[in-house]
Amino acid sequence: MNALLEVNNIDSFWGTAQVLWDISLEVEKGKVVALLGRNGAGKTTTLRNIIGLSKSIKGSIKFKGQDITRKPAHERAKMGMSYMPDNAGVLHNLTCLENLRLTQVGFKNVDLDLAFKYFPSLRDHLRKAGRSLSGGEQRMLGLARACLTQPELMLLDEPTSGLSPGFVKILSAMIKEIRSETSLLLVEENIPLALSLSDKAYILVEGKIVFDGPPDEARSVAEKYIIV
Amino acid sequence: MGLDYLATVLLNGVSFGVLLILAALGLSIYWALMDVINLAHAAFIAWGAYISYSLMQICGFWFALIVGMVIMAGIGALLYAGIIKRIVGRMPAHSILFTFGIALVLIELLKVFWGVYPKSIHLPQELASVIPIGDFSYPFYRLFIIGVGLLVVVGLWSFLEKTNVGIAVRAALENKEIVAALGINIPRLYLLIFGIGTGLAGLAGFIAAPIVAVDYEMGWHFLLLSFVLVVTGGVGSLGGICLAGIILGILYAAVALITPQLASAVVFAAMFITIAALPRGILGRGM
Amino acid sequence: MMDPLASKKLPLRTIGFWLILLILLAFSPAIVSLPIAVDVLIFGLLALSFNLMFGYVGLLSFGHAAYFGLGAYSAGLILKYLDIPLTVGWVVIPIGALIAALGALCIGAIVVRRTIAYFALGTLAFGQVLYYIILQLRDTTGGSDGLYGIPRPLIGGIFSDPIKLSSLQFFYVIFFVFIIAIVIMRIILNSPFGRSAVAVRENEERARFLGYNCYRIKLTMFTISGFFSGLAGTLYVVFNAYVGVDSVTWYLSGEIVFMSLLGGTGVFWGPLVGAFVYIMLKWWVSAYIYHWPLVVGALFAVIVLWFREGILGTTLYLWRRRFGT
Repeated sequence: MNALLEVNNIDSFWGTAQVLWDISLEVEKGKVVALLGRNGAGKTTTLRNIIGLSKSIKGSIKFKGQDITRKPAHERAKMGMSYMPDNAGVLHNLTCLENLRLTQVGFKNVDLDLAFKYFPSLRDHLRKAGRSLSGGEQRMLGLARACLTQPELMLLDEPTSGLSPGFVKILSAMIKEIRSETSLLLVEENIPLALSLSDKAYILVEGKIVFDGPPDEARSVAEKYIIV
Repeated sequence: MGLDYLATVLLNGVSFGVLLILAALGLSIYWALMDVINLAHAAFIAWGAYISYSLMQICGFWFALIVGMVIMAGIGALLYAGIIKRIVGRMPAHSILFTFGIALVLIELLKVFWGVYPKSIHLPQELASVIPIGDFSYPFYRLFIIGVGLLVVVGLWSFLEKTNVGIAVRAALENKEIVAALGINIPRLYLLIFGIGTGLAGLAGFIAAPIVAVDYEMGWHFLLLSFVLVVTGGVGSLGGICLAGIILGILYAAVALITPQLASAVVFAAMFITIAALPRGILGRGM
Repeated sequence: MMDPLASKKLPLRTIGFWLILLILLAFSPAIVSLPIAVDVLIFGLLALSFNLMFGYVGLLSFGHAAYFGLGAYSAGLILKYLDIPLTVGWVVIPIGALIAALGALCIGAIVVRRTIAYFALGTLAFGQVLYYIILQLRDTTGGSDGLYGIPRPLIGGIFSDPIKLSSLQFFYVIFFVFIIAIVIMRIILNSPFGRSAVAVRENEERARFLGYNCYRIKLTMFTISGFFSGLAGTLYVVFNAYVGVDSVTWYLSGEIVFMSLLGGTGVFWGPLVGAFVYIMLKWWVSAYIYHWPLVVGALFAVIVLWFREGILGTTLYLWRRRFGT
């Protein structure tokens, strides 16, 4: 059975420096996969390669059985992927509502109410400019926006970094709710949280995958390479 | 100096300023959104004027206006898709030089198609009337220009603030990657924006044609002044450009009472001063 | 991008190349016509001085004609209105150049700090202001008609009657000044200052961390460039006995940039080659093709897109690939 997302042997560069060496990973339908590693290990670059914002040299990426290695980011998004960068990617010059409405440009039939279903407090901030939202509110907005397109695969880059435990709870609840319809590839620094939510974990060390397996096994390996 | 005289000078200034604003909008759009400093804009303005000259010989003013704008937008889109998009993403120096070459070609083509002699465009009947202001008879056409300017600015503002595509444009100004990751086709957005910019340039040339000298220098003349507006107003700041346009237009009209040479010098000096002291433009909202 | 400052010692090949070039230039009035030869020297010098900024420091000045014009008009006005004996008329050459350098210093002090685009536009703005001021001061400068009847400086006068120089002799005077200018330029570029300028172009942030005062380096090069541009202007006026506003237009500024790009901004002699080709193009193509700007414009665009090394640059690159350095 083909996995939803297959990354096969990609290299990637940040400028002239090589960041990823021969990376392969898989995300199956209905699963949550965690991507762990220290700062600078290449986790963000991996996600950017998958969504198409960074170039993959050699190797291939397949999504829903199709080869997307050459496809530009907007086409990948339209195929059913969404991406949230580690700073939530909220546009500061736009209002909260406008940030949400952006999804309606690329996708038809986006129902904005879906955002409020998971994050009802967003309704209070609709007219506020992106830059005046707090860190937690921006993350909520970024997540809401990522859900709105009802993607089959969500790529989240450190969604809980620096946020309150309350927010972490909201996120966990949301993930548990959508995982049946949306698969997730989660980059996280909060290892216990990531392992508690995921079905599979990869550990990235200096641009190479050193571990690939179930979360309980991942724990001890993670302790070796990363400060847990 | 009577109040009515002052009023005519003021109106001259504002209408001239509006022409400059119309011309500068397109330039600001390419620069802010695509990071392309498009000198071919000069050619688009000139083409707008020449196309209007030809169209007005076939059909009426209003029809020529609409069709002319559409033709220009179409030419712009074609040019973008075929040539200009190659320079997107390159250093500013490259876009300046590349588009300069394109401009040279396009403006020379004017001579090829329309000949070397300046053209004169006549005002259409409906707009050729005069309005009495005190002791003076003021040409209605200049008020028409101001009206068109208002319409365009309001239209552009509505587009950017109210429509989804406009939101996408403003988003792309800030962060193209997020916009792409949300499934929005950036190259196609650029195409649209380029077409709008070119259409606006054509409109500016068309509207200016009856009251300025329509020759092949016209495009360059307007381009240089557009740069002044964009720089003093702030790249990407609609409000800044409008404000700068009005102020500089009035300044120009006032100094031109003494001599037109000095008026031009003053306008460019204003640009120089802005670069020296206010690199983000009058309202500080430029890029 | 080649580094023309690569070797400090001059290998035989380089000396040979220089000799051939100089001999060619010396005999150029016979090869091409005299007016063309003079134009090549003058505009070649202008383009070379522009490239001090663009090729070596990385700053695009889109108003460089202003310094050419400052030199030309200063020299012209002095010769025409101040009653100096014409045998010392030659002094306007360094004076005009110094005035242009002063202009560059003042303008540069303000715009050099800005980003590339604003720098280019700032220099353009100054060029335009100068243009309109010259037009405005019609009584002094001749306005759009230009300044006519500028007397040419004479030779001698100490032991014998002053001699008027023929145009050909004048060519060799210009050639002489040209050579001196080139030698000075090379000395400057090979000095530690010249190398620091290249460092700024390569990576300004790193240069700053290494302790270079980037502002002062850029400003100094701008002033030097202004000096040589003004020098070219004075040579122009002294030879042609005339100067007009088309020496101060943005169009000339654009031509200067084009000449440099055409020849290659990464090689010292590139702009001279570019000036030669451009001037020849203008003369010949315009004889056959009425709409020769079509050719020029298209070439411009193509070069920027694909042949950023220009004619000389690409040639040298291919030469080195084939024969080794």
